Amino acid sequence: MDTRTKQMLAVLLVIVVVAGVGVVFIMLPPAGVPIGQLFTPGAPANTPAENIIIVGILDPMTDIQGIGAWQGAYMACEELNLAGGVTVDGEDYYFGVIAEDTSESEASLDLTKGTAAATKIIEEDGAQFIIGGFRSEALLAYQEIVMDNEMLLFGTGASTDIFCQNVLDNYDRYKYFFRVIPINSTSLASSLLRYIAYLDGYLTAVTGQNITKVAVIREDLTWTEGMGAFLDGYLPLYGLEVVEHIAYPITADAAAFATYWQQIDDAGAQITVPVISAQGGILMTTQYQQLQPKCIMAGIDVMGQLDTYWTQTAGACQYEVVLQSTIRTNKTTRTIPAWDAFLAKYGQEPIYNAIGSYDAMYILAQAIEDGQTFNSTELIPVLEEIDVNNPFEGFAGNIAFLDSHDVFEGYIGDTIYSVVLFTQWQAGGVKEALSSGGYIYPDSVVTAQLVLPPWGINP
Amino acid sequence: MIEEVIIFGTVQGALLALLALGFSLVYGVGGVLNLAHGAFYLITAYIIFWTIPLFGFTVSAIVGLIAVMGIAAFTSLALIKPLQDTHIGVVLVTFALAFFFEQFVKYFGDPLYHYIAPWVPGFITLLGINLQAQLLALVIGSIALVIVVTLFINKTKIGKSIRAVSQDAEAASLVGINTDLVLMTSLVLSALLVGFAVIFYAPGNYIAPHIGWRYLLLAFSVTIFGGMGSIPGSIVGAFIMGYATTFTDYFPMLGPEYSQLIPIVVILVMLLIRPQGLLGKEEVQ
Repeated sequence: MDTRTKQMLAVLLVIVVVAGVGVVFIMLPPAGVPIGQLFTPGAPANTPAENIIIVGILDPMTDIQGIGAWQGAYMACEELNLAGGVTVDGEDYYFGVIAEDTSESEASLDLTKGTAAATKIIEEDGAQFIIGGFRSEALLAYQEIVMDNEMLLFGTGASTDIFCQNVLDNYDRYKYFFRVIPINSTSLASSLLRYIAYLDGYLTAVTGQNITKVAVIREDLTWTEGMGAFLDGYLPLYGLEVVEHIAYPITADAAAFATYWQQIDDAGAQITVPVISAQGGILMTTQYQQLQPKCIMAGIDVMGQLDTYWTQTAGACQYEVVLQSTIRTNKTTRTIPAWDAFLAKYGQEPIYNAIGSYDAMYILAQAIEDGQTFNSTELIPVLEEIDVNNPFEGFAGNIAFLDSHDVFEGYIGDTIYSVVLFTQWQAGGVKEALSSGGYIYPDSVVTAQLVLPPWGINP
Repeated sequence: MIEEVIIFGTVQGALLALLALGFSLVYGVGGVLNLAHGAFYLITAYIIFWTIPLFGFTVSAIVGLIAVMGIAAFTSLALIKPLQDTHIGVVLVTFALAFFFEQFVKYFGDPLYHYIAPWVPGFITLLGINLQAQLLALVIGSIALVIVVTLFINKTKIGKSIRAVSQDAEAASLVGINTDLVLMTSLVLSALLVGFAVIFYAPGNYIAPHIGWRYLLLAFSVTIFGGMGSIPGSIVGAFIMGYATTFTDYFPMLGPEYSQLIPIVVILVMLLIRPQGLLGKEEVQ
């Protein structure tokens, strides 16, 4: 056999293998959320198409954020339709949801995927309102398409302040944006700071030790830079010293994390504050349990918010305190019933994107009922009436929009608005809401006391 | 700080040695730049991860090793051998294979991160430093494998054939050495080393569809630094890179944010002052 024949055979072999695998892929059920298909769960079977209000969900649909957003919106859609939909000018309308994949959680972000998804959901799928957005860089790009179409966009994933600052700076163009969840980055950092200050006092009282030494470990990414500088600047004002500040490359693996924990323990840290959204959280947590540095870990570990984290870390997350938008506790009268319904329907706990899209559907329904219109521009003043004095009682809390269309963070009396909870993974894989000493939320939502790691705290 | 740099640098070096040794060996023998090297790590890790619930870790590890050796043999015979005359052809086909495995685990598994629990639990204290027992196993295993591979190449008949082909493939062929078999053996040996890197390092670590590229980059960097095709160069280079990375983590004026930059600077400096690498031979044109 000559060389040319061999090369041709090799090429043929590759084609056969690729084609074979392609056929298998096509025959497999699609992974993630069905894309570009309209669903009208709970709507009467004979509902005419013109009586369906189409809500588009834009998110990374093969990843947990998009799947969560879809599940939350779908569940709310079904509940709203089963309850009779909305009535406008005496006629009943029902909701439909449709998804497009922005692929915005991919490590190598391609902005054109988000903009293409936004264009398709508006121009081909016929979406009248949009819910979603997770990664700020992506949402910044594709929100422009939504704004061009003068269409309401409910943000349910990105925390960067700029989206709501845009509303203040250029109201005419960006007034269609309303953030439902999470609280913005500044409020997030402030909540974290207040909790660490509370934890300092609590630990001092419980252990009898002088708690003054804090370590910060964060991903070396843009979103953590400001928060790292914020903690470095403000913790000393509370009498706390930042004894170690580690900004690690996002690709750091097990051997690297062993060195980080050693550095933290060598520095004598008593509290370690993680600011982590990616997979590094798994290694940080598992090595914390294996190496047992004498400190308590409390901060932002996005993967630690997932109900699968206990299994993923083989229980190593026990004692870790993580910031979380909601768990099964009575933030509002709707929180526990909605949580239980979600768990019963999907067999998993809702992540914050799911909670946000669920609330966004209900806020939209209420606005349509109150405003008696489907026109986004006409709905804006109706939504702006949802404020601190007239909040929307949702799954995540009492939602009140500010002038910037951001959510109001905090609580007044018994009314809990959009606040983050500090929760702890405890024995048996349960996650409990801890006290914040009233600094962030009232003790009425607390479900358990903080449990310290048995290996102690550095002197 | 010195104790930490020694211990954690040795851990990093042990991992890099396992990754780079096989990569360098395959390049040395056939001039094959196997860009699917990291994908071998990826697929082995996923095979082990998927089969642990069925068989437990030990059997899964054996299954993973057998599978990756089979994949390497297939790659050598079906993909590399027909295209061996064109270096760019080999680069392209192994690059494509790496993408294929990335998509394969994504579609047949999921795009999420997963954690494999260590099979050597707990930690030990060395020089006052707590080190995971799994990482100590990595160091011991890596050193043992490096010794075994060195002995294999120097003492066995096929090992001598590998050396002969790496020195002069044409002459080796003329004296009756089956160069195709030698290349396949090198690739299988390379895959075996990657497989052991997975067994020692994936437990206690996360896996995800994209991790292959990182391990390819690490192997590539160390091989350039140590000298393309030089086995001693890869081993020495791996440990120097390991210590440089850890030193960067600990040095007060640097820190972990520079730990990926410093090794690249080291490589650039090496290429400028000694383009053939640390122990590589200067080619005569």
